[in-house]
Order: sequence, then C-alpha cells, then structure tokens
Amino acid sequence: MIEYEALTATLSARLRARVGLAAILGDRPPPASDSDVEHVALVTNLRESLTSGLAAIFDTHSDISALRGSLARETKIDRGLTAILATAKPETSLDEHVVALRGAAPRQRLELRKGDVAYAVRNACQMLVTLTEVLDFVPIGRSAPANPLDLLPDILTQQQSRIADATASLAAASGEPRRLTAFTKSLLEALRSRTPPEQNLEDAVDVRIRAYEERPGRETPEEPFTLRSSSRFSQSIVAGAGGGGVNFTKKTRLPEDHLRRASELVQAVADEVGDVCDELHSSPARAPRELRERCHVAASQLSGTLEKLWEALSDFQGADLSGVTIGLDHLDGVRWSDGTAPAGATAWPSALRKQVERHSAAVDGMPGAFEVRFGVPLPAGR
Amino acid sequence: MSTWSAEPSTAWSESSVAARDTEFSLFYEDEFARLVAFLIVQGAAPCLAADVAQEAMIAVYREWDVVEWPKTWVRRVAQRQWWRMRERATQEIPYDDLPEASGLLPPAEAEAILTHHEFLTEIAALSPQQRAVLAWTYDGYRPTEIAPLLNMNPATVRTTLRDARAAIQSRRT
Repeated sequence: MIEYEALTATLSARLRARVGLAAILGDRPPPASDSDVEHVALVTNLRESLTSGLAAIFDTHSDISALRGSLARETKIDRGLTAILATAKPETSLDEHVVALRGAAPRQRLELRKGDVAYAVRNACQMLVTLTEVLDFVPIGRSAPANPLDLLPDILTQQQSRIADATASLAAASGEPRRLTAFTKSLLEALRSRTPPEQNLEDAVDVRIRAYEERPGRETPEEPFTLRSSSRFSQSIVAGAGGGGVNFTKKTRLPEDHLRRASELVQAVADEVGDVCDELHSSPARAPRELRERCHVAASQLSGTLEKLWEALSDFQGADLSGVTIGLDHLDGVRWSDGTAPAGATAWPSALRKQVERHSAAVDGMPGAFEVRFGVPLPAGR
Repeated sequence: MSTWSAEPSTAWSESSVAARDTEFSLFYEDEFARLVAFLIVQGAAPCLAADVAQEAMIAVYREWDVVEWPKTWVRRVAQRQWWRMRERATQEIPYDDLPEASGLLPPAEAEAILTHHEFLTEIAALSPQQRAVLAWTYDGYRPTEIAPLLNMNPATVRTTLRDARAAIQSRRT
C-alpha cells in the first residue's frame, strides 16, 4: 500500500505539467457511445425499481410503530421456520452435512453455485432482515447499550448455529432453508454511527440501494425484471402465509431452488463475518483487547466452517460435467482437474472446455488441479 | 467551455459551466495519477496507462452531469479499455500494430518509473485477476465492493487478495 502511494506521487509529479482539463477541452471527445452510458440509465432504472419495491414493503414515511407492525408478521415466519427446523436431525454434525453435500450430484451442486438469479433475491432478503433488525437492535423505549461491541461475541455464536441450520437444509435437499440474518451488518452500521434507530434505518436503506447502484452494468436486459421479482419475493415474505405469501410451515418440493438460495445466504453471512473481521482489525481502539480476541475466535471459527462448505460446493475434480448447460460466469471458483490428477480428468462440454482452460489457474500444491477465475481472462498461451 | 458540451448546451449558463468544470478539475487532480497507477498495477505499461486514463477522463467529463460515482465509473471505463487492448494484443493484432503512445508520459520517464518502484516487479508475476483485485484494494475498495465490479464472488475476492499478498511476501523473504 505504501509503495502504491509512492507510485501515485511519482506519477502525479511527472504528469502534472502535461495533462489537465485544458488537455481534455483541447480535443473533441470521441463520439457518444458505449455501454457505460447505458449503464447510467440502467442504474436509474434499478434505483426506481428498488425504491418502489421498498415502498411496497414498508411505508418509509410512516412512523416506527407502523414498522413494528411489519415486524409482527416477521415473527410468524420465525415460528414457521422453527417448525421446519424441528424436522432436521439435531444429532447430525455439521461435518456430516458437508460430507453429504459433497456426495450430491455434480449437476445439482453446479446449480447451487449459480449466483446471478439468486443475487437479487439474496439482497432483497438481506434488506428486509437488516431493516427489521436495525430496529430490533435498539428496542423502542429502551436506551442503547453503552457499548454495542459487547453484543458481538454472542451474535457471532448465534450465526454459527444458524450456519449449521442452513447446512442441514442444504444436505436434506428439501424444505425451506432457514433464513440467515444479516445481524452483523446492522451491528456494523450501529458501530459506525452511534445514531438513533430511525437514522440507522435510513442508512440501512441507503446501503442496500448503493449496493445495487455500484454494481457494474452487466448489460443484461433481464436485470430490472430480476429486481422486480425480488421485490415480489420480499413482499411474499412480509405478507406471510395468511396474507397470500409463502407458507413456511409446509414443506415444499423445490429442492434446487431452495438449496441455491441457502447457498447464497451462506455466502452472504460469510461476507458479513469478513466485514466484522475487517472492522475489528481497523478499529483497535474501540474495544478492550479481551473482547476483541473473543470476537476474532468466534469469527475465525465461523469463517472456517463457511470455507469448508464452499469448498464442498466447488470441488468438481474428476466429475463428469459433459452434459451440463451452464455459462462460464457461473463457474467462478470451480475446482477441476486434468488427466494428471489423482481424481482423473473433469469432463466438460466441448463448447466450454477451451473457455474454462483459458480462464483457469493451477492450484498450488495440487498437481493437475485448476480453479476457474473468471473476470480477468488470463493471457493466451498460459 | 469549448464548442461542444455533454448535455444540451443551451440549458447551461456560463457560470454553471464554470462551476461544473471546476468540480471536474478537482476530481481530475485527485484521481488522474491514481488512475494511471491503477492501470499500471494491472499490467499496463506506464505510457499506455497514461493514455487510457486520459481517455477514461474524457469519457467521464462527457458524462459528468449524470455519473453519480465518478471514481468507480472512471476506473471501470479505464479497466475495461485496458482489458480490450490486452485481449487484442494477445489474440488478433500483432503488438507492433498497436497505436503508439501519445506522449503524455515519455518512454524514458516510464522506464524510470518501472525502475524506481520495485514493487511493480514484485507484482509482475501475479495473475491478472490478482493484480486487478490488488489495484481496487489499493484504491480503498473493500472485497464486498470489488466482487461485483470484477464479477467475482466476494469470498473469491478475499482468497485472491490473500494469495496475492502471500505471493508478494514470499518474494520479499
């Protein structure tokens, strides 16, 4: 980082005399074009869609008590989820669930890893949960805790058990996965700004909107429709079973969809735990040392669990994928192998094989194993 | 302003145009060198990086009134342009046929930069993806922000960043 700043300083000194606004105004710029311009329109569209979707879920101009009414409906969902979880075998360990997941058919695991479809739904869920829990964080009529960090170890421990629940859902291959909460997210927001819950609510909404806006233009016309779908999904959650929404107390048979959603939610929690770790690293003065250590231990354990889970979803060494229909952009992070690996060669569809090879890197310490790293193509002739 | 403008020129008073240009100038002063560094870290030769950065700045100037997050926007435009050039160089066009640098950064000075900043040698062996993640990180973006910008999974961004830092560290020891 220091070296980068030094490089920037050098460049700044050398370029100052030659560039500037005058240099830009001196040339007629290239003709208007480009998908970036379209992206601006797309972002505007997304903002409008999300804002209207949000308004449909919560009346953002209403007072806090009205929002508490929405929370009451959330409680019904929690009861339904508890009933579902009661069907899981509590004695089964987390490791066994991961093993079971490894044994799932490659095609099914590939499906779980698809991110695009689940992306908007995941964010909609997080938005809802964040909104509700920001309110829960500082209950109405009570004063805020003196130090919100005091709550962190318990929250991380709570998340650990939720991950276990979600993994159970993944392994069971049926039923609704337990909804993982974004509690750490709201906690971070509270840590950063010791403001009233009403303000936190606005921040939370803003954070979610910005998450969409700063997403690069994928240039897919389906995107706005995906977003609208996620709004409808959110509404169905809030409405609850009695209001024409999803009936969480009844098992359904849509395993792939549910599994995929669970997989994405697990990733979401992984991100949040990572953020908590980053925050702890960057704010040494905010908490006593002993508390920070407890937080680190809890977060590290959780991260380790999540990494094992993600590896189970991503290992396709020696698998027969020749019949799958999937795009390269859904394969980011997939581990595969050639004929020199102990597991044998992964079989790809002929149309995909060259692309996969071109966008993969060898895995250190694992002969014949490669990992797809989509996003930045590697140089030809790698 | 000169004879062209980004959006209906008739709707702009002279004072608002001046305010707009002042605002852009401040952004330009803050960001131009960083944008060049951002591209160099991603593997662009300094001469080329300066040219690509300048083109991206022209693009963002054109859209200044509608772009809400110019820092991210200009990096995306520059990065995409650099990726296109790199793809062309590796796939279709012989290197000699690439357009010559405009001279914003003379070759001798570019060479001096590469010699003086040894960490550029250290990151040269990293994969393009690792370099891209590093570049965004150096400019203050977090893994969860970088992930959608590079079409990556956030967990993969963290792994990539960790691997890149470990590789740099191992070269130093």
